[in-house]
Amino acid sequence: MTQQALNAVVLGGIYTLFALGLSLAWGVLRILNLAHGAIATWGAITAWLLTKERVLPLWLLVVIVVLAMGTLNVVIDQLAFRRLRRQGTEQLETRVLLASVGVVTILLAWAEQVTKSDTYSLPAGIFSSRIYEVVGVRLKALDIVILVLSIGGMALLAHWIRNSRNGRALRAIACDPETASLMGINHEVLTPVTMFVSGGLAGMAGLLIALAFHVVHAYMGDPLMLKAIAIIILGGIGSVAGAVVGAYALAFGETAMVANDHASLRDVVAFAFVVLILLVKPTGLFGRQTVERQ
Amino acid sequence: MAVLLAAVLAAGACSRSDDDADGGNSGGGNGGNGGGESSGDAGDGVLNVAVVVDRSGPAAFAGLGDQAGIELAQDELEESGFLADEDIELEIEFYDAETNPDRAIEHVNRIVADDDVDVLIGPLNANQALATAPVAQGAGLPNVLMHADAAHPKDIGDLIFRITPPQPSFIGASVDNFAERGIESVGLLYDETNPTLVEIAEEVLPDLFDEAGIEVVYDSTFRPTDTDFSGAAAEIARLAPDGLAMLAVGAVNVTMLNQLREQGFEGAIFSQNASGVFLEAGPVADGIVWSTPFNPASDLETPQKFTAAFEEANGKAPNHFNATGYDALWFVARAAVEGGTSREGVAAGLQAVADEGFEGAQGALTFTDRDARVEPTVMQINGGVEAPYEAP
Repeated sequence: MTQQALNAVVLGGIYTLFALGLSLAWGVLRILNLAHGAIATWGAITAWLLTKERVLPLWLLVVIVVLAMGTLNVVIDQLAFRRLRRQGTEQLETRVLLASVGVVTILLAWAEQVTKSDTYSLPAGIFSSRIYEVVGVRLKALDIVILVLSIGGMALLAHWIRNSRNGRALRAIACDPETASLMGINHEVLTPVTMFVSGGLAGMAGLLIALAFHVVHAYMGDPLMLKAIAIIILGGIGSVAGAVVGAYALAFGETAMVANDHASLRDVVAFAFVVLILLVKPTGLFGRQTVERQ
Repeated sequence: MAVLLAAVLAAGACSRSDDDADGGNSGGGNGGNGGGESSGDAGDGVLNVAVVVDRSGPAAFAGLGDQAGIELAQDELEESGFLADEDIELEIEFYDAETNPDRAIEHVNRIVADDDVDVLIGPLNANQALATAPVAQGAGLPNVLMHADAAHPKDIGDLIFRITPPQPSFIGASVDNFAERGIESVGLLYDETNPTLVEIAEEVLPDLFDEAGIEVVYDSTFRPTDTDFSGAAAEIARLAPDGLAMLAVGAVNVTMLNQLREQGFEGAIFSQNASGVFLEAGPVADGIVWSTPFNPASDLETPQKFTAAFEEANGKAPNHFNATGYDALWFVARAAVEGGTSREGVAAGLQAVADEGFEGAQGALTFTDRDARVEPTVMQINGGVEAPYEAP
């Protein structure tokens, strides 16, 4: 049982990194970017491509993947979403959602071409494969890195949003974009920054999944999207604390299902959370009720 | 949801085969049979073959493997004059099922409506074949299935044949291997979305394990899109059975294997037919066994010639999928020589060839209820090399 709990903690760390990026874009920019999973996939594929000929250390891969996927997300935003924002706010979220489906299609087809729809593993040697065994519990060195990166990423993001000038500006945009704009907050600068952070987190999650679970393939990001949406609905859109709680709740729920011989019901957990929270507290555990004057 | 939308729009649903592909094969590797008197309608002298396989999506590794085997057989048929000597021209058109049953049905509906098509090869996935084979049967189009273990020709109709021996007919060799190695307890981990593997796990293996005196102490399922298997792996490691039956298709085997070993499971493992799957997995895969109808080290002439020709054409050793595709096209070509190129002629020819059996890349093929059978071989991987199992 202790081993299963440890596995759930590591899984929750990965879910946290992935969901934080999606929650940030959704909560602040009102972009439900369905391409977030494909960005994670490309984070893993980028690492695989970089290490096909020569093994690179993990720290360098993290830097490259975060920069590359952050940039890719900014490019996607500029090419696909920016024009939609300029066309007005009417049904913006729906139009962005549909545009992101198109982006997914392109990224997925590209990933299929590059990987030939096959599955690969990252080479050994990127990071220590050492396994520590303490009172019967096996802890990989990589597990520690995943926990450090997820906790560090979460803390940095929370600090940035709460305490920095840009973070406060983002919160103002999330609260009321029109008033924020009248107050002089520049969307054109903050949107790419947000999309960069979001893409970087997705890329890092993809890289860590590839390393932790020994898998790189074109479809690896798809199941994550459903889980991330469930996590965000559970925790509350745009809430860092909500994303963390949602991610760990889902990870522990899924692991408990598998550990208790209900593996086939594992994916039901995410949807059960969504239905339950929508019935009981539609704004999510950490979401706040907003009131609009008509 | 994104996958579905992406799959709809994915490019390359259908394309004509490249007649010039993979040149330089040694011909005549399979030309011993045929030439018998026509027993059916002679047709127009053109054998139009439609091939529906997964050339994209998660099962693309299998579909592309089948296609490579078909293309090698096509080259050999052309170079050997096997069909030309009978004034038969061969035309092949490939359709990409995209690992999507809807796409396979769409293609097969179009194929059966095309009177020029004489025979259908594929699909390879059971969940596709279970839907498409009755359509082919209803339209009078002979259909040679590949793999698709859960689609039983005898249950569908007299125009349906299968060139791949179904795994339930040979997976017992893996159980026997475990029993001979003194294994007394096993875990069972299988893909819940694959009808073939579900049938093997829930209907075939329990009886085989019971007969062999092996106790199943754990069983669980997974989905092929899963990436995290640590929960099941930790449970298996905790229960520590002597062995594990791991029923997965393709490279997800490697993903699970790594996580099983990391969680501390040290027992023996047999996989479902896993030819080629563990080649790149490294030392972690050493010792894994599986039973297969294709033995590249076979003493028989045709498997040897096929293996040499495939290596020359493709620069790598063939796997089970390559052998299956190769045998499928040779099966159809023999049928056309036997019965003619019309649908009725090919159907009669397939039955005649099946009644006789023939030696293919997979070995000496016989047919039971239009379903291929071959003597299985237990293979093992060690040091990145696949070879028939030898007791240590």
